[in-house]
Amino acid sequence: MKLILDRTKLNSELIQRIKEISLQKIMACYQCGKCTAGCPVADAMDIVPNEMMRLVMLGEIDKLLSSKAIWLCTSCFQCGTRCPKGIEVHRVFEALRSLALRDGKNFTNIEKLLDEKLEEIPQQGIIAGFRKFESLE
Amino acid sequence: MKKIGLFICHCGSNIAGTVDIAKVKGYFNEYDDIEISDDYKYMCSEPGQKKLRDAIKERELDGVVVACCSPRMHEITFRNAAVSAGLNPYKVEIANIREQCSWVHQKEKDKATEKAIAIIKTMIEKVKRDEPLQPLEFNITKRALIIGGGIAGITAAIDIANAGYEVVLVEKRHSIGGKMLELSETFPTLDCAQCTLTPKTVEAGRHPKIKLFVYSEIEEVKGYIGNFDVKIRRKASYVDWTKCTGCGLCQEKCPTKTESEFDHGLGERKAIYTLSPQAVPNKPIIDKNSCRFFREGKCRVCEKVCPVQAINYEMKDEIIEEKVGAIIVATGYDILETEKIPEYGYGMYKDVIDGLQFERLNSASGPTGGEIRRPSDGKVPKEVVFIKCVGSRDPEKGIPYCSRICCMYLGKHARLYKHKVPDGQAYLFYMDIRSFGKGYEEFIQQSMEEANLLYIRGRVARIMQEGDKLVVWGVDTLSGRKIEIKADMVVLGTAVIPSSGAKELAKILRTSTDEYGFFSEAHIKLKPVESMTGGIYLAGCAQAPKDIPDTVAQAGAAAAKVLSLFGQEKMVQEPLIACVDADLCSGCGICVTACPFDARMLDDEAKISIVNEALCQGCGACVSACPNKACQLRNASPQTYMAMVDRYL
Amino acid sequence: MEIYPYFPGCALSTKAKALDICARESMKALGIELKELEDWTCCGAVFPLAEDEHIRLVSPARSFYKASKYSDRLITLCSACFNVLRRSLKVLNENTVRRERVINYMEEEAKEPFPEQLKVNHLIELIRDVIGFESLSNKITKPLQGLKIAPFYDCLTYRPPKEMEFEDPENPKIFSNFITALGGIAIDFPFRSECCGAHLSVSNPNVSLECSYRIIKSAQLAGAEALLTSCPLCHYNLDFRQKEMAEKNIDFKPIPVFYLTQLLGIALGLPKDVLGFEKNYVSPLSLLEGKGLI
Repeated sequence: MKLILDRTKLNSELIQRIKEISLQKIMACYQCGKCTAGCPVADAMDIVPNEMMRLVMLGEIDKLLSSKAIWLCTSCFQCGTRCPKGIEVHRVFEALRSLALRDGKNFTNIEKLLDEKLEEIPQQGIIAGFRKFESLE
Repeated sequence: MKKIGLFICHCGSNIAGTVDIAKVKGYFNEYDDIEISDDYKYMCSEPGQKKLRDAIKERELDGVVVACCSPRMHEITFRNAAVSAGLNPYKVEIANIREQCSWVHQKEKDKATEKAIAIIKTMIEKVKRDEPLQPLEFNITKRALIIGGGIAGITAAIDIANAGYEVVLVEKRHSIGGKMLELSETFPTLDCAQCTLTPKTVEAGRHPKIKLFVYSEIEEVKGYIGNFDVKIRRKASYVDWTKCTGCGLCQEKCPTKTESEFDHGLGERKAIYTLSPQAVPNKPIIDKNSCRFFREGKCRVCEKVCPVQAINYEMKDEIIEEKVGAIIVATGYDILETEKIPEYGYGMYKDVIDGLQFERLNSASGPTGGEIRRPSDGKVPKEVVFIKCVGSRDPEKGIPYCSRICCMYLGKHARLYKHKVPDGQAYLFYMDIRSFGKGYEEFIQQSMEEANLLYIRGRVARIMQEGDKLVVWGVDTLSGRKIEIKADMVVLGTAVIPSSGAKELAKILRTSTDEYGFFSEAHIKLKPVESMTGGIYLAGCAQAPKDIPDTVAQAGAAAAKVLSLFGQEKMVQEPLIACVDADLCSGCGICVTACPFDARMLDDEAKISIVNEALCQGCGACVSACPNKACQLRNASPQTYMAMVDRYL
Repeated sequence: MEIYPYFPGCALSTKAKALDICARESMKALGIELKELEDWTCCGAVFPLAEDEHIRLVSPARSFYKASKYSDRLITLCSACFNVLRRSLKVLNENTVRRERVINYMEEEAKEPFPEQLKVNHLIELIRDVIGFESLSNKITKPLQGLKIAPFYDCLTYRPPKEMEFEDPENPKIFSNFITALGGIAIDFPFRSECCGAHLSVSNPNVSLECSYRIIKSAQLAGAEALLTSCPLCHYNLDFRQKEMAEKNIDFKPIPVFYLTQLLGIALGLPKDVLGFEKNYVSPLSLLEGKGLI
């Protein structure tokens, strides 16, 4: 599918928001792919980390917000630790999740969880699993 | 009354667009000391210079002020013009009414014109007081010192020696040849490295004008361009090389084996050893750290078997003094300590090796006789992964620059591997392919097409050992998939860094390096072989990573610069340097410590401070330091400047 | 008895209470009292990675003010709390603009100056720096008899390295040194710092099961008799979920996963009832009895 680029698309509001929330130099990414290579769940993702960085650069945010990949991320920070350009890739992923959540898109349905699971899993897992928070606005 | 000529340049519209030239010219027509006030569109052009010369001759001017651009542009032009008309060049001064006037006050034309007049007035005051100085001349010692006996140093040495001048070639290891001696084959032709190198090393070894100091290092350098005093430390080899015939018996009989640095840890050597089978000179040294005699006082087998009694355990380091006129730095490169990137397992897993180690494996004189075998168990690897950009282009863990040679040498390695193991598979992980030289791109494409090398675009995140295999976790960004390969061997293309000891050497030479330790060139585009220090030139990887053709070319260029220096009768130096008023000097010595160029010293007999005119760069530090105002810069005394300031105000 | 303010965290106070008790008893035996912070609140469980989330820093900030009244070190044991607290402290120290916003949410504490000299320490750092591993070796009564333990270096203790400033995540040593000090043999294994799948066990359990399974297999291949961890969520994934691993793989062999302080307690000869073994799905009892350790 063809991508039509112009300066408005490359400086869209969504891209600006992502840059503000993550505080990362998106343009520094030279697509080496080391983040993807070390990501523990990349083989299950529909869009892998380096592709995600590329799509942010190109302004294809909506595609990312509707991907499964951003919810498969375990926040292990391996990507940001290994990036040779010092980009904290995990923060860019978090920015994408924030945009979705703040829009009211709730990913984990608590009713679907089995009670016995809730009994056993440490609290930290449950909270992280939801990633829910009240928007300040 | 002086007879000074004033020449105002329009500089097209650069000056004339803001400053009212006619008004300025008119102002100085009736000015004291001004003999002629003239103007022209482009003073630096041939007709402009002719005006200057004609006026000097016809009006018998004894001083000139050119009101134009910055002196950095054309001071030399106008001074040379004056010389050809018979006027001393140090009676020519520039009044900068462009960078310091017209360019910065473009919106205030009247004020700019007033300022231009004021600037010219001050420079007239200076010219009135300028002495007609003579340039200083010094003898040149027409001998060259070359630090580093790799391909760069050897090339430059042969060029200079063939021109008839003596060369002192100093090399850290006990044989010349540098890194090229360790290589097996070179890209893109896959020529045998030793076959191309040894004719040069042999020539350098036997050339009557090349004085070879191997197993030596530079201890001290004093002096200046054309006149360096160098101290060389020849390290104790414990073998008398004047007697040694290179028969090799000592090496054969020595009972101690240790890890070979030449084979980068993959092979062994004896405690007494020659560097390689093609060593020039072909003489051994004893390594104190592994020799049984030095460690425990036992053995002495080499001494017993040597047919000419050349072993001497009592030998000491020697300091040799040499006088030279020019120095070429050709200290070469090292590779980054790969332990800095622990995720690749270098140092932990035996089958993860670097590029230089692979060269030794492939080399007929190497630890496996040229067979590609795994260091861990000696088996032939069938799946080999080559990784580019290890530490390069990596601001976080390595160095941010590109090491330039890895794309080609790893492509070469993969190709050579396939020659030797035709049923093996080679994978190359890359970010980009930089094949910029003659024949390089064709070589890479041929490798892909004919040798079935798989180029995978992506970096490797981690290498883990599982059983006897190395699991490589990489990525193919072009298809968006994670890649896992269970490899038998991994070759890392590690970053190129300056040779160890480069920064210390730079301090000894009093020249500068960049933040990585590469020697700084005087201008990155126009002066790639001259260092920041006069008389010191650069060649090869000491200046920046590069391949062999570029190294040889740069070495030739450095040699040419040396020859152009030696081609002069005498060396000419600007006389605008410090001088001492002997009546005012109290001999306190503060200027001696203030001088950054070691150009000041105390004369013990006269009990005053004196200036080494060849070293002084006219920086003025001693002038400000002197408590008695005894020290001054020629043609720039406080009285002159006070008069200039008075006139301006 | 040295006293240090201690932040147990939610998991250790409820589902893993026995481990909290084990921690306190072990440290008491070493001459240190871990005094639980009064009235502490949940650290937040995940450090806010978004630059504009300030409210999540309030609970950590409260803990810092409280802790600084007693000591310059705030000790925690749970990796998640360690990650949140350590990074929160760094942000609050360095970013005065954010600090201001956070303090605006707090009433009483806002009157005090921010405790800039406070440090957040993992219990293992306290052991290393205040007691010392060598001295620890001398204090234990039941050395581990060469028990082969594979330390699992969890994500949250180590990463991101520039913020955690703990050890190089590619070259971790502290848990190995700890195991050696206790008389065990530390087994290095390739998947030592690969994520266990974390909270995906809630939303995407198959993916995290695969992640955890790889870790278990890698440790077993390297010859480990047990694993060591310091994170309650990793413990759940690596230990409790072995039930599912066994269901999916016929030749799966279970392997016990110790919590950091359990090992310490064993080596210090603490009674079995404080060691919290009922919390381990894969019981370590037979392994320990076999080595004569309990």
